[in-house]
Amino acid sequence: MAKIVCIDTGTVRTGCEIGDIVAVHDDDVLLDGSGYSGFKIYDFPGLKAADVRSKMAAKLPETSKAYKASSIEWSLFTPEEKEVWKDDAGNWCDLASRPKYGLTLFAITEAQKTSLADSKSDEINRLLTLDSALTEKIHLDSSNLIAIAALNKTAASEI
Amino acid sequence: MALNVYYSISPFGTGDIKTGSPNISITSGVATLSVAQTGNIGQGVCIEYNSLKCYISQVNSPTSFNVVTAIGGTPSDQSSTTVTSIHHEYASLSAAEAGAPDADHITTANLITADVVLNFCCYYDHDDQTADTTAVTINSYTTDETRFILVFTPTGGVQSINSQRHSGAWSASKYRIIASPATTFDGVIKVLDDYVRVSGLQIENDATTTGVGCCVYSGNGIILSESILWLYTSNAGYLTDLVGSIASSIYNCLGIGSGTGTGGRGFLLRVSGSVIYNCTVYGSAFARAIWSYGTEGVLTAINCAVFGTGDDFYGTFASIDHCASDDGDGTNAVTPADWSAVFTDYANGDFSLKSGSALIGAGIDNPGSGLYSDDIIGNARSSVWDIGAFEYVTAGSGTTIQAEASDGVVFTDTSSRTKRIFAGCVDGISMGDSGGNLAQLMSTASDGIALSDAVSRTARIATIVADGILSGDGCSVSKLASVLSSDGISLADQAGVVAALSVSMEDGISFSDTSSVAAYLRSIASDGIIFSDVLVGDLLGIIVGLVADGISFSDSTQVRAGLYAAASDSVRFGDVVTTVLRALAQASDGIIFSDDATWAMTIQALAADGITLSDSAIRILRKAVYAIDGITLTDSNGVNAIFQVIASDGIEFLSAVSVIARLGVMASDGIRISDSTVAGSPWTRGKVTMTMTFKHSTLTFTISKSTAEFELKKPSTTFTLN
Repeated sequence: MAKIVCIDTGTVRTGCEIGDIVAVHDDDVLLDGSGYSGFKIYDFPGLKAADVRSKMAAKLPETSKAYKASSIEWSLFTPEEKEVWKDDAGNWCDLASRPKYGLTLFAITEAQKTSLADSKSDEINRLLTLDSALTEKIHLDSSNLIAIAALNKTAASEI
Repeated sequence: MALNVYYSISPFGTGDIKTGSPNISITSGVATLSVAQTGNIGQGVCIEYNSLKCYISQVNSPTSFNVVTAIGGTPSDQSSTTVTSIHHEYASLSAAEAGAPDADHITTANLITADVVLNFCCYYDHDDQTADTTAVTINSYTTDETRFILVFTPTGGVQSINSQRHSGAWSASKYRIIASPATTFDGVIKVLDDYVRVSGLQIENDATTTGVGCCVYSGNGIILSESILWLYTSNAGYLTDLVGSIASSIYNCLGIGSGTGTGGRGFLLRVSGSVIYNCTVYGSAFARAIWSYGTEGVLTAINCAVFGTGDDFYGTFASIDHCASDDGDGTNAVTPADWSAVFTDYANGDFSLKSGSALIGAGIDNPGSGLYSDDIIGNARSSVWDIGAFEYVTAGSGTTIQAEASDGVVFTDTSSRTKRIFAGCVDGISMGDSGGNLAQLMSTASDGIALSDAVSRTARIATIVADGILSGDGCSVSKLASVLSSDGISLADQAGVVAALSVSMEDGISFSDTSSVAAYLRSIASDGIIFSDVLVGDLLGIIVGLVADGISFSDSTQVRAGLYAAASDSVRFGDVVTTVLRALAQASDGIIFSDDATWAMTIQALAADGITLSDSAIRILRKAVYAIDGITLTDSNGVNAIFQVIASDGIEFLSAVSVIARLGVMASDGIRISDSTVAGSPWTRGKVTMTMTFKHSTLTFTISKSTAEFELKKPSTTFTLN
């Protein structure tokens, strides 16, 4: 069984929202007492924490670092750099505000909760359900939706 | 003066870790427990009692702890009452960061108005050594220079009963945090708040898959010390990227780069005024090992050792002074011709200095002007300071010995290091060691302790003994042993490693091991525990024994891990070449395993009379057994999986070369199954002949072919009966 620890009313504060995923554990890890009273913990029988983490990692968009530098003139100044992310359409956009937690379960439905808690359900189907219940947060911030035209002509590079 | 609040983190989770069933009394912030604690207990660990809770702020002894409330105050006095539980507060650093400001803890993320220093105390998972695998972002706290966040591993002594910190080399049995951050703006530990300090952690950036980020990313100044940062990369990633407007400091750290790539980065610092002191960096994975970013010379590097990398010091530095490197960068440079003559065994991760090392006395004193005075493992630095994370300690030196004894304390050590020994005994303590390291020994004994070791390291031994302890070891490493015994303990090991040993008993424990590894053994027994193991590859891991009469292991070449035994009579394992994992045994009369070449995993046994397994070359998986009279399994070359058996009289399995899977049995009188020559998965093929005898009837049937899943409860629906 996988346990997903999420921000709830007791732990929400500046920089995070209810439903944000804080950690994922296997069922042999007890999450009890006052330390976890402020969190919402989802128990998903039959799923492994490693599989859930893998599914979560796949849900996150590609990010990179981009540089604003002239290719023809020398300068004594360090080139400006910024973080960018690739949206569903494949466009590099300005990552103006990186969320503290990359994924949230805030939009999970009751039907999805029931499906995920059903240990008789096929593991692959439940991972698909989890995938549909997860929401990545970068695209939720309108400041992150501005495409950078120059980057979408050429590939960004890493230092 | 700001108050200190402490919350512990362990990937083990928040399960109860108390030893025995202690009572607690509290007077003026000092808690006294009626039973000595031997587990991973120390600063930040929560003690619950009488619907109240407090947090350990200091370890005075295994029974005495200073405690504070969740907001750092002094808890109310408490007369003796039962301890409900002792547990860690969080299972991940990420959850601790998110949860500490909530209503059950500081109640605010503003540490200035709360007037507290927030201490996150990181403990390793004593159960199965699971790493903390969740990357953490520290932000939205309000801090200043005196009210900040400290993330650290307790070092034993006043901080914890067992040390949680690495000993200078990467250790999978100490707290470590491992993740794969996505970009250079991201980190395994990402710090966006000011004045955060990180000390004594092991941080791995696994950049072989998706990540190109950092072990530590800081957006506004950080103090990073006594930590091991590991970049494991195929061609990207950083140890640090420290940006923002506040200068950062790194000292006494070890940076290692490994993997198939050569494009990784080491310590990158971008803020003017940043410093890096007494660090050691090694690995071909680093194209740039220490990087001063920008053209204005932001970074000062002093007393650092950098070798085996692409470019040792890259960029424009404010200063590079008294550093050792392949390139001989900076002023007062040291350029060893042979690095193997510098470090003890750098190829295997030991970067401590050898006698005669070119780095000894080659640095400058106190480059941080009081920022630190020890090395990465707590050894005091002495003039002239050495280069690198380790200070060479001259053989034979000893520090911080405090002895209280009515008869005497005798140390006859030669060429050894003995430090932080606290000895309080009635009769005496005698240590006749040679060439060993005895570190942080805390002993209270009424009769005596004699340690006659040779070329061994005995570290952090906490001993409370009424009669005596005798250790006659050779070439062994005994670490984190906590011993509480009224009669005696004898350790006669050779070339063995005994780690995290916690023993509490009345009569005696005898270990006669050779070339073995015994890790994290906690035993409470009134009569005796005997391990007579021989041969290599013997791993005794996480054994927790609570026994009235005895446990005896006469094994060879075994791996046994996660054994929890509670029995009033006896548990005996007479096995050879077997693997027993996560066995839970509770019996009033006895449990005996006489196996050969078997794998028994996740055995849960509860029996009033006895369970006997005389198996050979079989695998027993997920066996849950509950019987009042007895269960006998005489199998050979079979696989028995997921047994769930409840019977009041008896069950016998006389099988050979059989496969029995998902068998759930419940009977009041008895079940007898005589199988033979059944191969493969039971619901796809095979032949099973079973005779089931119940109280009022007997049913015999043979399954010649089956196409559905094996369901013993519903044979008529899933099998064709002949």
